[in-house]
Amino acid sequence: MFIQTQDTGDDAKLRFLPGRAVLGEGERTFASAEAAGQSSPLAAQIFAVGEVAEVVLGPEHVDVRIVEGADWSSLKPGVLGALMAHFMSGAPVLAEAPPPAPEEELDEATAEIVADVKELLATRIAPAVEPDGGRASYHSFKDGVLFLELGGSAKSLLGAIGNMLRHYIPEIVAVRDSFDAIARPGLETPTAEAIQRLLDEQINPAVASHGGFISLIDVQEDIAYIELGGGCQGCGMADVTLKQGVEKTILETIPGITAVRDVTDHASGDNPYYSPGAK
Amino acid sequence: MARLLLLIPTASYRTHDFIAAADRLGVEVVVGSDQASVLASVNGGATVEVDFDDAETSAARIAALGAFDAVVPVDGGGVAVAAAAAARLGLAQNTPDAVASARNKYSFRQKMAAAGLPCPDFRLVPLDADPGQVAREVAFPCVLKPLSLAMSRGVIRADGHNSFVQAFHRVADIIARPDANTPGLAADHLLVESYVEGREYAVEGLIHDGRLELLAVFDKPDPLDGPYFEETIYVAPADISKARREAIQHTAAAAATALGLVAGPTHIDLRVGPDETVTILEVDARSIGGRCGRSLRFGEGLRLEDVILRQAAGLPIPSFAQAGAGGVMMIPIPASGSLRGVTGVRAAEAVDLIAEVSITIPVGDDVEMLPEGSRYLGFVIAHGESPAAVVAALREAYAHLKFDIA
Repeated sequence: MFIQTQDTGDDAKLRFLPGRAVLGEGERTFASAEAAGQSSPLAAQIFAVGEVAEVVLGPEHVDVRIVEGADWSSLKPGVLGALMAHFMSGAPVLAEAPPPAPEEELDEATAEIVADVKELLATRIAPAVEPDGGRASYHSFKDGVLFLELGGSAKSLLGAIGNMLRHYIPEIVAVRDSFDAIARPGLETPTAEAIQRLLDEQINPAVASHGGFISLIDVQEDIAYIELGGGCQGCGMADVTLKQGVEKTILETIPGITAVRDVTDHASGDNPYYSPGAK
Repeated sequence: MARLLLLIPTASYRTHDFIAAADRLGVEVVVGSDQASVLASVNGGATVEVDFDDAETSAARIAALGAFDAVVPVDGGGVAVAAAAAARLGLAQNTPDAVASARNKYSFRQKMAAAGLPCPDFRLVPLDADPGQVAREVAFPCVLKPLSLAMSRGVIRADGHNSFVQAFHRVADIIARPDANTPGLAADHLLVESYVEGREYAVEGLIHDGRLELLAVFDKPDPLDGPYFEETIYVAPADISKARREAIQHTAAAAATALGLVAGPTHIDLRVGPDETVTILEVDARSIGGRCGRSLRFGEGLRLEDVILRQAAGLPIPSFAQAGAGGVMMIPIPASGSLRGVTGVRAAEAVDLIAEVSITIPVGDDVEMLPEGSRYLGFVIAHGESPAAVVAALREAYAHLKFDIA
């Protein structure tokens, strides 16, 4: 992941450009760790660095103001690390997902399932995904559907993780990314449905030949957000697949969409192509 | 709207940067690559499959797609196809002969010598020659080189008879490897040159309106004395006198002209000797490779790919002046084996002035040191106010990186 920084003309404030959508549109300002803790995991993580006075989340940037007398030379690495950790974790920028139900409110049978899930995550799944930078933790369990918080390479292993958990715990009907628990009304519009049909009927059958798949993550205004998975994640030709294939096809086919943005964490994918290159 | 054909090998490091630059420019793009796009069936001709080892067949396929304003090879793999396609399309680009000479070190040396440019003694040697006999006929120190490999792969300095014989066999073995893919004369010959003393630089240039615009002069602050020539840090602008810079520009321009290059980017390696003589080592009809281009910014923030595509599309280039200082460390492979892990990336990224740390070889892949190897472990990019600050940041960042190779 490549995070750029930009001066703002104000010595106390620095702009960070993570090279991907932050809010997509609009701005949200957080003036304290308490305010951030209620609404934004990303802002809360930045406040946790210390000596941060304000965090502004923008469409594709994060502005951070430090308290008077603080020194950027000691804080900048911490903010970069917080941004990196957040985006690699796959956690949402805004905490729109309902918090997991407190365990004490679970009935006895469900509590036992959740305890088994956590044990399997710790003993079987974490050792398998962590060496490659992946992370998988329990989020919530409802009506047989288990939601996991997935980060890094673990996102592309959801299917295998789900198979293992269902094998050991038959009560689990489905395993999903906790991101799916976030309300995304943009996906329930006719435009989103048309994009999904295009992905299902034309695009994904083609990219499946390379072991890849493309997911529609959200539609906000006239922008479609997609994620490349499987063999597409980290592929050196992913930009060609996106710009010359996916975007071109969507823009030509779906009225009202003017841009397609890739939110894939390509850094944690295996590039199937990289090989010699002259300097 | 301009229409460009970008030639992008699937192994290129530069796909993202060129596609993003084309997007910023808003030009129409068709991408040619050595594997068919997975979406070729639905993208309406936005991609075309080419064979980078068969320039004429690929050129015919490109010409059948209609008119283009330029055919742009994003790196070395596509220059021959670009030249052949441009010839068919009647575009004022580098000719197949010119780019072929740039890609063959013997042919290149002949052209430099014919143009009267400073040139080391050089000799083409068949691989079935007796290296002991050849060693008795050359002066030391000398350098043995494959004719067509890049990245200093297979380039070895020899200081005496025994080291020459050992180097000869080693270079021959490298040339014979299937992944070397050496065509024609390069398959069964190597080049022996007298060693050129001096400080090494690289020129990033753009041949524009018939003249060489100097985009950047990179200094190479780490010694390149051999026996292998592993490049690490490039930093620009080089902290050199005006006279040295002018001498570099003059000789680089003369070399590009001697080779017959007429348009587009060029990357030139050279040495400046103790007597200030500028000796050209190589001229390529392409821009700097890997992710090194990310170290450069021009004018108000133009990237190298913006400059290249603007020229190709016939659009004005606001500025050729480098903005600030920039540098790159090509991370060397310290040992051969299997890459088992990398640590320290986040600490390296947190170093002031560091813009990017990218490890481009996946964990689990086999890695191989020079002179047999042909890859870097990755790239560290830095931007700053001065070349010295950039170099210091690159060294500090690199010190954080630890590679587990076994």
